Amino acid sequence: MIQLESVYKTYWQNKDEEFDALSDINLTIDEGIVVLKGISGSGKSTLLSLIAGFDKPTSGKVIVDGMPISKLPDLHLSAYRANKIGFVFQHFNLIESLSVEENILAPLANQDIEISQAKTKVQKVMQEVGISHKAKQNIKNLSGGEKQRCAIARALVGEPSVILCDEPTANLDRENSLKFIEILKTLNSSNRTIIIATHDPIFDDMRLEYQTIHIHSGKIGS
Amino acid sequence: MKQIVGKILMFVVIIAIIIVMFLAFGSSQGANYVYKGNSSFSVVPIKPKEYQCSECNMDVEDMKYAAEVVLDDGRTYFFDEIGCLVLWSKDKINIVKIYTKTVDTHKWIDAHKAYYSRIDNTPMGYGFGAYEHPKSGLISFEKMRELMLQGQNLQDPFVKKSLLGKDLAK
Amino acid sequence: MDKILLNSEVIIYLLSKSLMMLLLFVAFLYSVVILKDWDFNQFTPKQFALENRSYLVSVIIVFALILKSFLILYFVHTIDALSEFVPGAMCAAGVIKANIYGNYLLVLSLASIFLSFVWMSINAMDIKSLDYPYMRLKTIFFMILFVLLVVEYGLDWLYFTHIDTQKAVSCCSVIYGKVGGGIPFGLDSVKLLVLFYLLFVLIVLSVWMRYVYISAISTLMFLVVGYYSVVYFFGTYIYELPTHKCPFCMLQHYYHYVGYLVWGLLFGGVFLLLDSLIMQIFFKEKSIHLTKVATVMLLLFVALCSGYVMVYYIKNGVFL
Repeated sequence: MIQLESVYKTYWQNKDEEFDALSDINLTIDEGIVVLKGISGSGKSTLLSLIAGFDKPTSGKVIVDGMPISKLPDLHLSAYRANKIGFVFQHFNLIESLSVEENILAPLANQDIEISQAKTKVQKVMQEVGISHKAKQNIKNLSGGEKQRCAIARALVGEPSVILCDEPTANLDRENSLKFIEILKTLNSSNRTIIIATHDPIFDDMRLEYQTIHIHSGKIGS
Repeated sequence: MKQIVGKILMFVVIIAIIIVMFLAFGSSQGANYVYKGNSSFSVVPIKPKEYQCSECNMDVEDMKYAAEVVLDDGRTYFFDEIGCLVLWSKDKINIVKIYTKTVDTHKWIDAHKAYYSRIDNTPMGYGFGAYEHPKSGLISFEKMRELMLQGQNLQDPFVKKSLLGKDLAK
Repeated sequence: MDKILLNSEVIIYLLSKSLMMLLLFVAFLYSVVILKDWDFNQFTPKQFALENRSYLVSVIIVFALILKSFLILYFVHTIDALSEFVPGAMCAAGVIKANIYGNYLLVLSLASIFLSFVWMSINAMDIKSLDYPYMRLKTIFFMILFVLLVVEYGLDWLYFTHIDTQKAVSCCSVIYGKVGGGIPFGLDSVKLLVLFYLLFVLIVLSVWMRYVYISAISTLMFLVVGYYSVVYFFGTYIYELPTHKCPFCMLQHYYHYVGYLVWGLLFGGVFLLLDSLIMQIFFKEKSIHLTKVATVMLLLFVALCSGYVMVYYIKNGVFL
């Protein structure tokens, strides 16, 4: 479960350009798929960053599975991100000089598991997203949809309980966007939370059970 | 088993350390180098090896040429011969008394009142032996001090040759 | 004084120390704010800012304290280099006694390094925990340490500005000969050596058996006995001269700078072991890795010292 209580995020604090990216956010998110809808600049990505532990709020509580992550010291925050979070970035953020398999293996490099075990996990997620046939391919040679699937596999390899997707279909055509939504359906389970920040209307058309949260100018709306 | 052996070993080692420390604290401290509290500025009679020479750090063993100096705070330093005393005291300004043992009468007397030979076989080889009674060839304390500070003592091979007539190469 | 202050080693040392003090001063100012306003249970902007800042402050302090540990080696090297300007000094022993500040400076430097190790251990425990349980303690401890370091910095300047290159100093044979005091507590070489090895064995046994208080006491005793053993016994085998008793000459190139290794292993091993014991006694934190490293350092120290004696005996067939 993810809880946000009186969360504010202010950029350029105490300066002329100061503005509130998030303002008095109070949310409770249970397991399942949650779509965070709002236009560009509404605060969706900022909210995802706070839940992922990439950033800390200016004030307020961010609690994930009972743990106040906004208060975690750096060492523990790194462990939280490694063990609990899978993040799919808008621009994928894959390592161009590595292959698909190597990119997916990367998050496990810092963890205390055997290499053979790590490779087994990589194989499993590649099969789940349907990219096994491109394992040895360099990222540079992949299409947009294939890169997206590689990014999803990388997000899943650590078996996270929270998957965060920031504008996952922004750089995909309709066909690949639909494929992404099909993958989402397979990932949806009782012990996992998937939060998707998007303003893509394709999500309205699909038969997908999800909770919707609207966000506008840093505030939660109806 | 390992625990028991370890505990026994530790016990033995601790006992051994305590024994060594008792032996150390209980034993003679070895030769000292200063006698404190001599407020009467008188001679401090010493035994062989009881004190060390403050100049050359050797034990004052051969009492025949021993000397001592008393400072104004009552501290008394000891030397195995008058030559060492002269070197040690050359810059000291708080000397109250200097005493030396005499070769002829085996007494402690005021060093300024003694007469000095240049060719005695002294512990550090400087050659200055103290005598209570004047004799031909003996010099005063001031002359002895001057020669000592100039290096004109038996340790200098040319001085030795001129005084003893010996060829140093032999 | 010009000859001393314009000496390149002294300039490097004082400049580095000044930089270190500047960093620590900045950390000190932030520490005052942290101490005043810290409340981990708050979720206010001020508290979040303090948490972010405290991590930065910790990094600054750790960097400065590690720099300080290297600076003491450089200090010893510097005063050894100054021996050519100070009449009568053959090594750092004479230079350190060139004025009344030298000995106090050296002792305070060593003490502050030990306290730095303790601070770094507390800091490591604190940042590993979920809720910074030792934030106030380590902040207050740092502030006390900072005061000591300021005193040390003042002593640095007083020391280097009061070295008189016209006044002769005693050389090590006078300072460390029996006129200078000799071995204290009524010990002679034999008893000193026996104590040396017995204490080392006791340290190893008590660390292995986890008797923390016995380890701590024996380590403290070993530091004192180890120092005198090196100066009055093992050092003579390094110099291969029974009358040469000096803790500093072995830092010179004639003896292949082995002094840095000898003193580094002794002080490093003792400080790290005491540090890990303090963590166990006061914080119930078993620093097994630190304890092992410290014990190995002391083992190497004992082996190195004993090695010199054995090599001499093997080469010459007799002891000194």
